[in-house]
This record gives sequence, C-alpha cells and structure tokens, in this order.
Amino acid sequence: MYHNPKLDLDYALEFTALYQSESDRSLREAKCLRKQIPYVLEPIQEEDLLAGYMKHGFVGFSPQYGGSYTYYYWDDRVEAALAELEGTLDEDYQNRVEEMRAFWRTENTDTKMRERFKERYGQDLSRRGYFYGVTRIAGMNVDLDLLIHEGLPGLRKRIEHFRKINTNENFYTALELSIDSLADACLLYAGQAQEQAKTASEPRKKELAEMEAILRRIAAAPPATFKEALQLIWIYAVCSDLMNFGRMDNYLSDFYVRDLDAGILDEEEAIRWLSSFYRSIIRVSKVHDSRILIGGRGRKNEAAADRLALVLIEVSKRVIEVVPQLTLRYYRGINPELMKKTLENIAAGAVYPIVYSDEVTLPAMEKMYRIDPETAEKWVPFGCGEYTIEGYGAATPNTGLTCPTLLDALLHHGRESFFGQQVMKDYGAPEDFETFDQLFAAYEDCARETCAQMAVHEQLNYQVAGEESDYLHLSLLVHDCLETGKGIFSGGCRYLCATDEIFGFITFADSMMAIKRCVYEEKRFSLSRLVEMLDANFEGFEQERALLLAAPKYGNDDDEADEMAVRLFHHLAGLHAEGCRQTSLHYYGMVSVNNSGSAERGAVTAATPCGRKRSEPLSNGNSPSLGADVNGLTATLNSMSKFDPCDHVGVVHNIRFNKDMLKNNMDKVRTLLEIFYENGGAQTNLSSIGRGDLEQALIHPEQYQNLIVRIGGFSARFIELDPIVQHELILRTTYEEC
Amino acid sequence: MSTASIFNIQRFSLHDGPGIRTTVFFKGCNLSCAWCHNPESFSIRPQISLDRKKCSSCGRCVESCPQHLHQINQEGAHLFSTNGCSACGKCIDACPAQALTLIGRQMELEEVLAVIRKDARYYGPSGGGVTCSGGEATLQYEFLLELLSACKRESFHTCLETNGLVAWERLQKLAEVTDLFLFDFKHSDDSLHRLYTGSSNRPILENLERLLGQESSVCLRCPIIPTINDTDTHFSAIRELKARYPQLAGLELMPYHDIGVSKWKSIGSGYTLESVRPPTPEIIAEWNRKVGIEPSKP
Repeated sequence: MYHNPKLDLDYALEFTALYQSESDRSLREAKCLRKQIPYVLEPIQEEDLLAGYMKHGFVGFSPQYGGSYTYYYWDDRVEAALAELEGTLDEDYQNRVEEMRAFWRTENTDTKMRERFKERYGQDLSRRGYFYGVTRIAGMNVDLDLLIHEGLPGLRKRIEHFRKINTNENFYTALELSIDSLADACLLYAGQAQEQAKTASEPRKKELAEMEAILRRIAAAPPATFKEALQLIWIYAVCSDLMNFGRMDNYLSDFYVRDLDAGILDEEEAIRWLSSFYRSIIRVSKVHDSRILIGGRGRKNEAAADRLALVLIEVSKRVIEVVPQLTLRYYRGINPELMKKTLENIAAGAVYPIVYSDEVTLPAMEKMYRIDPETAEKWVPFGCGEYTIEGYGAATPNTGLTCPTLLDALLHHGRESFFGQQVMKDYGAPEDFETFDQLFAAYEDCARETCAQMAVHEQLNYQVAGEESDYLHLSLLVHDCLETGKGIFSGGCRYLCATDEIFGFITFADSMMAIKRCVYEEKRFSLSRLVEMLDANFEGFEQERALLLAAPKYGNDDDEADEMAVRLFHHLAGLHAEGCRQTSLHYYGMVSVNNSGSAERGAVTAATPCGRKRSEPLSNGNSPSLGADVNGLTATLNSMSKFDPCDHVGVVHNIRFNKDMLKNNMDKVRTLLEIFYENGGAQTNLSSIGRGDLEQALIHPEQYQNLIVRIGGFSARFIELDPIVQHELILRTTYEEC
Repeated sequence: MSTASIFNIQRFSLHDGPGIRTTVFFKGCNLSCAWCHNPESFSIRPQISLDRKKCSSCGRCVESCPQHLHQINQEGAHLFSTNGCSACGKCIDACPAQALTLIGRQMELEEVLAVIRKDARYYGPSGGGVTCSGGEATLQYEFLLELLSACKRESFHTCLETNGLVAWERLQKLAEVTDLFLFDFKHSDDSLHRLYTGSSNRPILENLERLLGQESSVCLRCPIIPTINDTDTHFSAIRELKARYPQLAGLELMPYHDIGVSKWKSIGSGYTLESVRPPTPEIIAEWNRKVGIEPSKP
C-alpha cells in the first residue's frame, strides 16, 4: 500500500479496470493477484528474520478473510480518501471514482452472496437476534508439507502433470501465474533486503544478506534448509492470508533435524528463527486464528517431530503472547516429555500449548467425516477450535446460534426480551406448554428451521465464492484441486465442510434442567410465573431464584444435569446434520468453542431460568456455568467427558489451576489430565493465572502489561479486554489444593 | 442397610495419602483438639452452620424455626443458639441468601460407594484411592469396616486417617482392609496431650506400636502448633519414634493453619487459639530439619 490517498485511489481504479478487462474466472483472479501482491506487501521491519507482511487495499481479492470475502470493496475507505483529497481531483477523475463505487456496490462478492440468500428466504442472515451468518472464507489448513518439499518449481511440475490429464487449460495457466506471484514476492523482498543492507549495522547486514540469499533461492528452487522452508511458508502465508499453520512438527522436522545433524543450525538459532516467525504472526494479529499444531498420531517421523515439538513449546514459554495458539494433540503413548513440558509452561504462566485428545477425536472424525483412519490423522483444530482435515478440507465457521436467547424468545411469544425484538414466530404463551415435552417440541421446531437456514447460508458462502474465483493459492495446496482441475470451492476440495458456533450452551442446558425440575417435576411455580421472575430479573423472587440455582447443574458429575446437557447437545447436533443434508456440504457440524462472545452476548441477554441474572456472562464453551461447578476438578472433568465426540467438531473446556497447586502436584495433575484425554475428554485450555492475579491486574494494569489469559477459543492481553470479559474471567473457578 | 454420619466427601483429594484420592469425612470425634480445623466434626449429629458474611438479616429464619433459636437483634446481628437445635433444616429452606447450611447427614454404604466409584478411573494410574478421615472414622466402626472392605473388593487402595484412640481389637480388624494408616501423633507429653486433646496419649502410642509390630503400613502425621508442641522436646520425641520404627512408611509434619477459625464461629463455638499465627515457610523448614526430614527438591 502507498498510504497515500491519491496513489491508493489510483490503484483501486487500476485494479477495477483490470478486473473488468478479463472475463475468465481463473485468469481474472491470477491477473488480479499479480497486480495486488506487490501493492499489498509492506517493507521488511527492523528485527525481522523472515520477510513478509501485508495490508489489504480499498478493493481487492481476499484469499481468506483478511480483506473480507473474495472480491471485496471498502467504500468507507474510498470515501475517507475522497474527503482527504477534496478540491484536488479533476472532474473526470471524480467521475471515474464514482463509476468504480457504483460498480463495486453490486459486484462485490458479499453483496452477491447476500442477494442469493435473500432469493430463497426473503432477507439475509446478517443478524436475527439469536443467530447470524457472516460471509468469508476462514480457517484454511493447506498442505504445507507439499509446499516446502516440492517448492515452487515442484508445484509448477505438478501443474504441468495435471494439465495434461484434465481439460481446464485456463485453470492451470492461472495456477502457474499464481506461483509467479509468489516468486515475485520473494524477489521483491530479496531486493528490499539487499537495499536495506547497504545502510544497516554490521550484524544486521549479515542477517539481511542471509535473508536475501534465502529469498532468491526459494523463488527458484525447493527449500533446502529449515530457514528456507520457514521463509517459504511465510511468503505463502502473507500472499494467501494463511492464518493457520497445521502440523508444523510433522512437516518441518526433517529440515530441522537435517540442519542440526549437518551442523548448520543449533537449537538456539532455531528458537531465534521460530521466535521471528511468532513475531510475524503476532504482527498480523489474527487472535482468533494463528494455530500451530504439534503431536498427534500419524507423524512421518515421530522422534524427529518430537524434537521440534519440544522446541516449539519452549518458544511459547519465551514469547509470551496472544498468538500463535500452540496446540498439542495428546495420544496414548505420547512422548511424556511433551506433556511434562506443557505443564511446565502452564505453571510458568503461559497459556500454551492447548491440549486436544487424539484418543477422543480421531475415531470421531472418522465417523463424522466418513473417512479412513489415515486421513483422520490429518485432523487439526483451527481458529477458536474448529476441526478440519489438513490439506483436504475447508470448515469455515460462518454461523452462530445463541441458545439462551432462543429460549428467551420461545418463552416470550417469539420476542427476545432484552431488546424486545420479534425474532421468531409465536409458539404460544408459557401456560400453553403444559408439559416439558411440549416446551421441548417448540424449541425443536424452531431450532430445526434455524439450523436449516444456517446450513444453506454456509453452502452459499462457498458456492458464490466458487462462482467468482478459484482461490488459486488455496487450490495449489488443497486436494483434489490440481488433481481434478477444479478450484477449491468449485468442486475441487475433497471435504467441503462448515461449522456453526453455539453460544451459552451450558447456560441453556442448566436452564432447561431448572425448568424441568422446578416447574414440571416439583411444581414449585408455573412456567408463566417463572417468566415473570425472569422479567423482574429475580427482584423480589430471591427464594424462587435459590430454588432454580439449587436445581442440578452441569459440571458436578451429577447424572441428571449432565444427561440433560448431553441430550440437548446430541439433539442439536442432529439438527445440524439434518440441515447439512439439504445442502451439498460434506459435513456441517457445531462447535462450542466461544471466544469473548459468551461474556459479550451475556451482557445483552435477559435473565435465564438457571438462575443467572440479566447481563451476567453466559457459560463459555462446554465449561460449566460460572460458579456452578462445586464438586471439584474430577467431577467437572467427568461431566465434560460425557458428551459424544461425534456430536461436535470442536469444544473448549477451561481449567484454571491454582499456581502452587499445579507446581506442587505436577505428576498428579498430568496423570489426571491424561486419564481425562483417554476417557472422553476432548480438549483443555489450561491456565494457572489465578483470580488474585487478575484482580491485581485491574488495580495495577501497568504492572500486568504482559498478562495473557485464555478466554475460550482464543487468548488475549487481560488489561486490554472489555470489562465485561474481565469480570467473567475473574468469576471462573480456580481449582485449589484439597 | 447400615448408615454413617458423613459431613463431606472430598473428591480430587491430593493430601490425604498418595495419588488422586476421594476422602470420606466421618462426623464425630473422641478427641477435641484445640487446633482442630474441622470442628464441625466433633459431634456426630448433623448441625446447622451460619455463614455471617452471606446473612442479610432478613429474619425469615426467625419465623421458620420451631425452637425459636434464631434471632435478629436491633442492630441487625444474627444471633443463633445451637442449644436444642434438632437440625430439622427449616431455617435452611427459608433462607434466601443461602447463609445457612446443614453439616453432616446419614449416608448409606451404597451412596458413599457411588460417589467413590465416580473417580475410580483416576485411582489406579495415579497410585491413589480412598481415604477415610474425620472426625474420627473408627467411631463408626461397623460402617467403616464395611466401607473399607467394599473398597478392597473393588481393588481401591485404602487409607485410614486416625487419631489412634480406638480399641486394639477393632484396629486390628480394620488393618486387614487398610493399605496405609495416616496415624496422628499430637503431643509427646502425656499431661499436655490430655490438656489439648482431652485424652492420654498412652493408648494411642500402644496402638501405634502394635500396628507397626504386625507390619501394617503406617505414615506418622504430626500436627505442629506454635506455642503448644513446637518444642525441642517434642521434636526429639518425634525423632526418637522415627529411629525406633524404621519401618514407618512415612513421617509428615502438619504445620498449623488457620482455615478452621471461621468454622468454629459458624457453628457457634469459641476458639481458644485465636492468637496463634500460622508458621512461615522458613519456620516450617526449620521444624522439618529438627525432625530430620530433608527439604523436598525443587
């Protein structure tokens, strides 16, 4: 970017003209990319060991959600540039800008997609009170193993190979051009490094010379070293908006071990380069993404991968930051050092690695995705924790459903009661629900229609993206695009899936439990009386609220409460599957992996039947309602283990230890967690930042600049969080010694 | 079906024996140690506990109590007399602030076992199991024996935490189903033992000797209370026991802590050790050194 309104406007006009001049979908994108990439790349920064940073322009192609969605256009930025340039532009120029604005208003892909949804449902799915849909491509995990082992020349050969088999000539030509754009980026940065070296200090000169050599080499040859491989990944990431890095210990460890053995790299130097890689990720600041995976079954060379994995855990202890989200896949028989070092990180105040269980998720992925065990081994969580198949899938999380708001509207004639909006049809007055089953049936009816609409939205998101472009950079590294001659969203992706984020699920389950217990079983009060209490935010109903709070709650290993949660979860998963069957998606699954949304949505959610007051936080992920887990850690873990892993494609469980407890009982905690992962426990966000630390950070923020906390599906600097979210974090349970 | 008065079942218990454990706390004790941090376990009967911090002085408990044991005075202070309280629980139901709770209830064997079984998967791999504690669990001997026997049948490791004041015949029987005794040694001076616990230490030391004589596994646990038994005489007595019984499975000092203070108040009892402060880590290290316990490696 020029960061100059006139030059940036010039660029927007040129980009638009180029877009209009080419009607072939594949070639249009390739040409746009070659124009766009040199423009969006930002200069090498002072301490970079890896070149590459980009900022999207006013208009362009967004390879994932960095820009927003496919061909995007930001009119507000054009407007701001025009305001800045007022009085300096001639009439002809102004007219051209106005024509451009008019053109993109209907031509941008987001508008096209929303129009398509409206054709079917009469209105778009931007926000319906309790569910929503956004447009974007997100969470891609591509075959980086292929990238660094083939290099750009190897990819060119693959293109030539498949060009002969398939007929789609323009697609392959465009892919070839898209590789040129990657090579261009390498050479552009090589030139920059050379230029910067002229005026740099001695040590920096050496670094820049090394960077230049690496960049020139990878533009024309496959990477030969660890550093070259890392740089190629980063150049690709910058050009393609790649935000998730998959199984790094698997694809990178042969480079690492080879360089160590050859004596051209040592562990500290690797840490220095990986730290630079981390800093590059941090600069991009995609806090809900940026995953790096380690561990897991099915790595090519487990011993070598473990060596690199241990180094990555060390980097995550030294670079205490919000991202990357280092993630460990645990399995029975894993090198115990990986778990030990993980807990040492947590005890030292880091929030990474996050741990997932292969024992739970591998068989579930096989079943849900209908894939063989070997393919299932390629599963990775991305973003806030949605699963996909590395190099073979897409699982964009574009829809969301706030369960407690749905219940709220159901109890209020279809009107959610916080803002008073009509958000669904009127299912009748509370007194009409004479039995729990009747209430449940109304909920089911409403949730079924919601899931169907959301699934359609997800499919259209891909469909329209695929009609507009081939997503060439993604198609290069996702199977079976090259193999079949099809763009990733035009039939090329083997497992085209999508995910839906559910919010406040446990608040909802605890609420249904409290209704069942207090209204229908014990008949303490009627449902309409309960609605009065909710509307009064329990003011004057303290005793009734105590009854609702005393009803069984999920998270205590209480069979009744847990069964309610498990049953509702299973049922909702079924409705997603049903919605999916009306689309061409391979799988549409739900995730309970909330980020700060559980607290933020809570702030605008009325009181709930579980006893939660108006505006208090909702439950986060599949963690218990705040303060409801009172039976100790094993009880909570047991509750968390009860869900069928085939009912979701991502859950989070927040487990906060007292720091001393963790330090003094490292082996016991490790055993406890391993048993959890081997007996139905899918995931844990571990942390040892206690309530006291958080309270102190509110009083003395200046002393807690670097306090990183895990919220649910992402991490953040505590002092920068919204007070609503800070409050929720403080209220969470800390497991103490007993 | 036999029952016992139980006041807590603590899951994920890390300090009552090895590994990850579930600890069953029996209500009722035959000693009344001045420093006890579980004073709610003295009486075998269920008791009402009042958390004054939660109380809003609304007075609903006053109306609900058939014995008229609750009062709210003119300053709004909640006065509660336990004298004559049958722990009927009516005040608990009436309290909107959840300031009143019932401590202890009669539990059936199967009920206790059901809770224990919930964490069964964690016991074996962590080297943990089940601990019976109190109060003094041996007071409810029949039930305790049944419980420990049932645990052994299910292959759970068992610990019995005891003050040692129990008929040898019973202890001997319990030893058959106990993998490890956590055996208290409170004071080496018999008259001070009487003063602070209400009983002589002689039968206790005899039982210790017998247990060790028949090769039961015993870990000796010594509460150290500043101003009461943090004396060189007592420390050397501990050292002597350690020398005399090399077969001891372990020796632990249990430094005084004050988490029990609020509990004494919440059940309406007076606490005599208010002026005693918990020891600093440095003092604890010094105590350990005096009895010959090596500092644990970091």
